[in-house]
Amino acid sequence: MRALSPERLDRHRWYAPVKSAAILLLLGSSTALAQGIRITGVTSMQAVDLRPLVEDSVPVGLTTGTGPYRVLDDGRLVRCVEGEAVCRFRSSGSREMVAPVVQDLRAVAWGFGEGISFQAHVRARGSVAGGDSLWPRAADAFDAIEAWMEVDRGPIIARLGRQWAVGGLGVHNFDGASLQFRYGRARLEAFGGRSLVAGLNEPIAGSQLGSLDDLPPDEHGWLVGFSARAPVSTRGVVGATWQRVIRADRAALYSDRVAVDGVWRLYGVSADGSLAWDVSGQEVNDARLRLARALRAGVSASVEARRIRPFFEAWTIWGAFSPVAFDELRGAVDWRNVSGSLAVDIRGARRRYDETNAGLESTPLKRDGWRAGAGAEWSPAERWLLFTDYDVDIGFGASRSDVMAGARWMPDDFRWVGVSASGLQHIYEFRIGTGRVTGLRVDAGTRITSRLRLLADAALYSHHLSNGAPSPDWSQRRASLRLEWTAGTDAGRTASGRRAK
Amino acid sequence: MDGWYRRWQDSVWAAREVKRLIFTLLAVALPITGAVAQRGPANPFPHEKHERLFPLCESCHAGIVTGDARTSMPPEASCRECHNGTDARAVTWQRPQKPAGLLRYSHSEHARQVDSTGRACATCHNVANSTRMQVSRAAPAQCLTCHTHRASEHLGDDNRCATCHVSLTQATGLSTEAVAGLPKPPSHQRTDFALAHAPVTPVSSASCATCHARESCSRCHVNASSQPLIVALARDSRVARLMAGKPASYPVPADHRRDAFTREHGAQARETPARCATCHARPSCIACHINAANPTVARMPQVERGGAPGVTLKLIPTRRRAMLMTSPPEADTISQSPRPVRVHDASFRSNHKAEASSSMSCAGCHEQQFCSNCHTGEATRRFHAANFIQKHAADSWGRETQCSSCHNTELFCRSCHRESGLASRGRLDVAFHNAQPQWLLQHGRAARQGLQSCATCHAQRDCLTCHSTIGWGVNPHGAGFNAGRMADRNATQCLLCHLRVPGR
Repeated sequence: MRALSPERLDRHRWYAPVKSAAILLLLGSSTALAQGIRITGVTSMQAVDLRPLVEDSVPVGLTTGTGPYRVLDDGRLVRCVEGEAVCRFRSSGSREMVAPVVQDLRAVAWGFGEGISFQAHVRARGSVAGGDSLWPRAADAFDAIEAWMEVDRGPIIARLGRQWAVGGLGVHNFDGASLQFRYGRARLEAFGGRSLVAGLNEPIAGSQLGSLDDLPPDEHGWLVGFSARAPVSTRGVVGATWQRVIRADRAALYSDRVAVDGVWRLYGVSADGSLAWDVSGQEVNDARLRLARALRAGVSASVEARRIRPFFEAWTIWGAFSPVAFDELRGAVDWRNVSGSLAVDIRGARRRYDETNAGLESTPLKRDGWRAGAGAEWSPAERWLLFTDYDVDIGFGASRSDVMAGARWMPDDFRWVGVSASGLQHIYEFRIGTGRVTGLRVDAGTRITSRLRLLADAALYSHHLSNGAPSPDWSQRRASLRLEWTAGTDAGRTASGRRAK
Repeated sequence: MDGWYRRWQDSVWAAREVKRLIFTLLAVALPITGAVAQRGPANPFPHEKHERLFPLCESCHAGIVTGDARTSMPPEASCRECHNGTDARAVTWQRPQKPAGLLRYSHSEHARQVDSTGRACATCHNVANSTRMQVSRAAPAQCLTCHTHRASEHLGDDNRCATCHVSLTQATGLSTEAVAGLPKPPSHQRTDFALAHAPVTPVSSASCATCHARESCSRCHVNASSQPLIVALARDSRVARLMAGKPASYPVPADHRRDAFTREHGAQARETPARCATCHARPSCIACHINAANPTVARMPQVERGGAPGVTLKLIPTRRRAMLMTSPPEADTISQSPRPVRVHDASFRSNHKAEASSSMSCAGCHEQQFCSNCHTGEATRRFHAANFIQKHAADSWGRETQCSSCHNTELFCRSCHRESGLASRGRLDVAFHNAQPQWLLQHGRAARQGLQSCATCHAQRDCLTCHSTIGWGVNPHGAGFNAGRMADRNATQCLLCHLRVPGR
């Protein structure tokens, strides 16, 4: 077990407030010195019914079977320890409402000198009801998602601070520096710094990872990488990214990958493809090619072939379990009439997994899957929009089919009200039983001023179990309220209200 | 005496012919100006009543032939020689002012030409079978009896209007109504006329100026004030009155109808900004492009007060927000049916990796925070459909979209699954896979096909209970597993299961 040591946890306890103070100080000083500043805020509050996990027990006599795992009358498995009078199990408790609150602040300040600007995006989290434990990361009160200084001098752009590396390998956050050279439409960028966990925005050896994984990495990682983009002609463009995350003690690699992406348009056909290659594992993680073409009479079609093999960073053991790839062929056709008032799209995909070389021949597992769907949008009048969607996904692990339909009314360019109904039927992943969920949702939005927008929605979902499904009734009420605002000046940028809805 | 009389007769005849020609030409000219010009005096001279009194046209209009303006009309006092109230009733007659019509015409010049061919005033000013003094305004058709060598018809494409007409702004005698009533050439009725009507030569530019002033152009052209051909046209208050309130009209060029145009228009805008600025002002650009300071956007003109509005673009209210719509500034313009413009196709929202990774155009319309709105794991922009929480399992197994693009699939998913009772909190103490027949024998296949989904509930140590040399020793490595390669990457991971790094 390599959980965080108490010393490290202590360090994290004081690190967060110091980090918060530093960023706020940076923002404050920027505001004072900047020629211009623009701040965008998003306040988001939700109210969701959840059923937290609770531990329960039953007398041994109420169970059937022998050994450590026995069955209750309702089909639930329980764990029994020899010599104890009760068998234990965990189940979902009674319904509780949680109300997480997320406050985002983005600030852009400029005018400190030629091409010098600051940008920061910070997030505060909290919970109005239900406690911190029921909602992911609700206890992580403050987070600096990005905070960097930029110097833009003609062909060179330099950035310093917490920033994003965006490329064919995804979106990765890191604390460090980047330097970009521009020549015409070509770009070459080098970047490096302390790596953060992708999708988590926390240091690799941080407390967040340590609290959820029993074998967390004990060393930070350093990210180094290059990316380049260049037009190959007037019709095509190619980009490449190489990234390596090295353990801070340089004893190992956490990842070493390269990606090449390209887009090419010729004779009305748009081809885009990408390849992600695990250099250290010498495996293809992601290879795909997609062809799309606008046909006649408002019809567009696309077909895509892809091969996906999941990638796991080398601080986990998952890569040693030899995950297999699947190949998938996807297609989509959509049509829109001349006026744009009616649009229909259909899509479908079929995938097949590589041989796993695991298990017994007598216990086969489905190796393929498919999905299909169709949707339509119709605007019978200028201020009305009707929409519907149907999807079915049949695969190993879990299957579902769902349908939804709704309407939106926009009395003017600044307000809308919508209602939708949905139905979902699914087979639980690797469990016995099926369930149906029916839902009704209303949403509304209004642009109060060009810089202030308010959105709200509320939904009711009813869960019906069947075929001996073990899950609890997950009937839910959900509601959310979201306030978006912008303050400050615009430096050659459009007003924040340009996307009014 | 006889010779003198004959010469006098010849001269009278010649003068009569000249006069006939002049009047004929006037008859040609005046209907043009008649349609367009202010009328002459309220009490025009009754020529027919005076036919016997004035045997020659040049008796009163000698200057018409010679070009002497003073003698082109008789003096007003000459009427009073008879109409003095004693010999004949008194009349008032005012010398008519030459109407400032559209016609570009010189009687003296034509008189010399016509005189040389032996024709006179009556050629233009007398209709067929009329007497000499039954004069009328000259009709345009009469002009074409001579000027047909370059034009197929009066309003034909191949005609040069400026040959016979002055510019509209010079025709100050025309009323606003007369300007409004100017005939519309057939070429202007063609559906493609609006897309290709720019004059390419000074001659064609002068043709436009016959009926149009600068206000005609600035009604639609956003960049009217910077276009030399438009600036060359003078302003005209009558045209301004006619254009006031008349909506701009913007036909859609053929190349704009191609889907690829949305992506390719940037290069065109850089190369030929004036072409874009014909119909588009800066607000057209910043409907999508976030950076108004972008050099190409900045080269687009602003909408001037009272100037052309330019094509208005706005986002279509769709759920997926991938369309623009050209919107008419007024309801009855040529763009009466708004035409949607596709920016991204329907699947782009969940399938834009290659485009975002290689294209350099994303930043034209999206700030980088647009990416992080979704890719930070806790989307501040709603990416998933409603009720996604309850239906996401199948999407996760099938990887319709890569969950790891935005979420740390181990931690983001696991924390929720744990709190909601779906994930294990130890080794095998929650029987999630309830009653699944032979699950223990199947789980290896399932794990290799969907290991990311397994990791959304299971921590690493759950697996090591069996799959390690210090556990039950069940080998988890599949065919082709390269232990040395893994050890080269991170040998410490090997030691989680093995007592020593294999192969070392």
